[in-house]
Amino acid sequence: MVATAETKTQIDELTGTYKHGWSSDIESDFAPKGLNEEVIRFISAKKDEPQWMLDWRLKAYAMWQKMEEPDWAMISHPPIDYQDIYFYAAPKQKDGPKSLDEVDPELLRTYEKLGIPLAEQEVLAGVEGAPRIAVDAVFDSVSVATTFRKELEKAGVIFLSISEALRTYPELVRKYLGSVVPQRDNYFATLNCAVFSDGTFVYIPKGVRCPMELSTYFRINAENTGQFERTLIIADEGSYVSYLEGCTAPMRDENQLHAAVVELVALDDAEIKYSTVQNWYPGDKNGKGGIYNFVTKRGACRGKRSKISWTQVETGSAITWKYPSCILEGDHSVGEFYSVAVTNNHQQADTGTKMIHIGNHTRSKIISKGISAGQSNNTYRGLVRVMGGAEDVRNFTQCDSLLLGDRCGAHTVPYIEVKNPTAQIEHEATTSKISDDQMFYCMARGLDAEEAVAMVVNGFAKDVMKELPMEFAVEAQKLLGISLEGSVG
Amino acid sequence: MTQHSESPSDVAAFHAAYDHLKPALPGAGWLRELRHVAMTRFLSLGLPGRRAEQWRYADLGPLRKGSFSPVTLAQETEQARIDAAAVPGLDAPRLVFINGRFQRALSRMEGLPADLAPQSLREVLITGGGSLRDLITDLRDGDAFDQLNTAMMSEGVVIDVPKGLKVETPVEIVYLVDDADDRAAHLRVVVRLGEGASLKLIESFKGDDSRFFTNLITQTTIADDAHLTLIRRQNEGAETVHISRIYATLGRGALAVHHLATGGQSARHELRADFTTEGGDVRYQGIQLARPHQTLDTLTFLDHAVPNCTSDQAYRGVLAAQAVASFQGKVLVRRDAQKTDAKQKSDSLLLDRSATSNAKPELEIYADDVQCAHGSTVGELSTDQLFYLMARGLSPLEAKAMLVEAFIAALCDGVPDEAARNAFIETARGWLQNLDIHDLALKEAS
Repeated sequence: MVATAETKTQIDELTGTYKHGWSSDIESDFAPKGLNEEVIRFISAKKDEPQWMLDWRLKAYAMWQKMEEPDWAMISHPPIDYQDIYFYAAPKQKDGPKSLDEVDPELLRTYEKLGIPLAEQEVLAGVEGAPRIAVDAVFDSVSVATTFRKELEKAGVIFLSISEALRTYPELVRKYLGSVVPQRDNYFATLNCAVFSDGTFVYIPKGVRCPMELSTYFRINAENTGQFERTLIIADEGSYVSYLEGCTAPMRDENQLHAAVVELVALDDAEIKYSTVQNWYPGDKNGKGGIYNFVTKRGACRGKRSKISWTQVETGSAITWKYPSCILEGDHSVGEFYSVAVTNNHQQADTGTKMIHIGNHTRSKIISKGISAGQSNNTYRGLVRVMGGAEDVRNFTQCDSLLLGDRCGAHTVPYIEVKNPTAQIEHEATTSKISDDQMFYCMARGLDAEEAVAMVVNGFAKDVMKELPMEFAVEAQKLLGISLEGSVG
Repeated sequence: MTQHSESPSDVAAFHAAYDHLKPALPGAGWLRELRHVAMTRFLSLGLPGRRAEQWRYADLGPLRKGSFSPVTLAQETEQARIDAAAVPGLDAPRLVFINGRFQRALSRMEGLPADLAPQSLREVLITGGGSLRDLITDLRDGDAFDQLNTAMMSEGVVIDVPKGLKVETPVEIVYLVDDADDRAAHLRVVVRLGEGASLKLIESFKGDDSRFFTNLITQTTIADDAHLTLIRRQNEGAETVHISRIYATLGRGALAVHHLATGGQSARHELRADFTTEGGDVRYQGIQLARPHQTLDTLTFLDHAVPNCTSDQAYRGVLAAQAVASFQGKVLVRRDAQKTDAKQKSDSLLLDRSATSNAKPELEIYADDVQCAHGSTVGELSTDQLFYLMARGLSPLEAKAMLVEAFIAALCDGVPDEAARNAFIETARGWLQNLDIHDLALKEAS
């Protein structure tokens, strides 16, 4: 009977009678522009949050007001006016394009290349009247989502929006929220603590291997949580989960500032595989517009023999500021970071990872591939730290940069801090361009210049692409080529 | 780079020393003006704190706590002490500085070519110093230590190698610290090579246990087809704070720096090279041997601003218990500096679990047709190799010493002067001998 009730809720949500009622009383769902305690109280009240959650948000807000925006990254942008941002807003239905005809043809061309069906293009482009389903719901069907939910429930997996989780499992959320990324962690994370709109909560019980790849694809209510998203994933002892975030399709979003926080916790023998394809609007050819993406992602390998693996394909956003990290506390725990970051036109990416080795016999591997084209700047910034008490630590880092054109920049800023002699740390970095020989070889076989570049770039990024789950891999490959369009010839 | 001042009090002692010394500082009106501006800037910048990116691994604590004023009187020192500080067996012209004061009487100029005449910086400044004006002014926008040096410098040497002169003999400079607690030396060395000139400069820093502060800036300009080799052995006393920087501007010439650092309580070594003409080449080979409780820090910055230049950096660090040794090496390839070939390699060896090794090999690249690579490793001695040697009768200490020597041998071997090369090896051996078995503790049969 429970399942039936659940299904009904699903259908209700999918068909638009969303519990916060987008379509009914829109005006009341807007908090005024700007940020103050009232706005935070409003957000918390909207979400029916317990008092402790509100207090937590307010505490973060108080901290944030005393903090300064970091300036160490190799990025530049005009100052962000935090009082000119809506921190809580339902989707602006009225402002959307009326039909696909009004959508930027460039965007449509990209959809076409990715092979996205028309109906779905409407959703992605935010066309008015498009079905209000989860943005990422590629399989446009209630039954798919519901079937998945049932299957997850059977396995005991909790997979909810974080607002829902706060209501249903408050103690579980309370125990882990902010335990990996502390409230005071950094300017953008602290801001997120104060104002996060929604996000995902996942709990995998002991010994459970999550029966499917989890993804916002299948989670209901995922829309419009992109701006200040909060994700918390807990893998209990001996469990396994693979989580996919994002979408290969370029996303229109009017919110320029994104500051998400992702926290992962892996207990004994647990493994979390977190894959991201980030393709937010990068701005136009002249560097106008585009998303500022300031993300804090961190995983704690708390348990022995636990493992956290980050894989990311970053092609979007005007600014990417993101360092998915692993805190390797448990003995024999493993951290991995595989990254492909592509920047074109005027994009700026400052991204990398931190591997903090605390436990004995902890291992980490970093493979970073940066590709810069146009007038973009692409920076790898990474820290490998071995604490004094961590015996027999291993790290291998490889950072390769590929430059397409002579107006772009590729930078490598690794920090290696070792306090234990039993550690074996290796770091390698190279910077190069696509050789004329490679281009000639491909083009002599009938590829045009852009295809040749796409092929070489995919080869260059292969070590990372092969870590992506199947669902993402094929599209991500196409995406690399598309992101670099116009960078040759 | 944002500088973070810890507190105004940490520069007060320098300010007082400057005020006291001001009337006696050599230099014409333009320099007085420049010194005043520099001191004002230094006071507003303050000493860099740990949050300043380039200083995150340095230890300026001893500088903050102490109070260092320059020596104003010449020091009597026995010849034997100077000889002991110099490179053994090097028969070459020698300039001697004691506690930062140039000692003409103890220096020897025989053997120099007729048209090479090193001058005392003090004398050059007293007589107007116009020929140094541009170089000194170049550092106007520098960091706190540039400012401090400009404000306070009173001693040093100016070497101008005329066009086409290839100086066969090496030139040695000895910097000796002797019984000089709470003293400082703000030194400026200027080396200018004309077209096609070449010079090999061998520097030795040596000192007793004085609480001393060495603050040296070497400025060099290397014209087309000129070649400067700078061999520097820094083996100052255990209580010294050492900050030395080399600023090189290259035409289509070459610079080779060979550096061995073992001395000081806290020592910082910098190399900045600016390529201004295609075809420039920089080789850097640096070794840091850090004894217990010591902080050694090296920073390099190679600015490939023009195409077709090459650089090759190799760094090796060995760290005993409680030591901190860091290497920050940056290569900047500017827009249009195509065909740049820049290599960098840094390796560190930790001899004890309480040592800390930091490395930051950084690339900032804005041109696409370049070859840039860096590699960095950190590790300990291989237990297999130790076992091999010990099975052949070596004590654990001997076995470790042999492997450490082998680790740095490649860089010692590169020193292009036999006497200096032997001095590198001997200094390294001396360093090893001063460690006891405790510092080199073997992991017990694990």
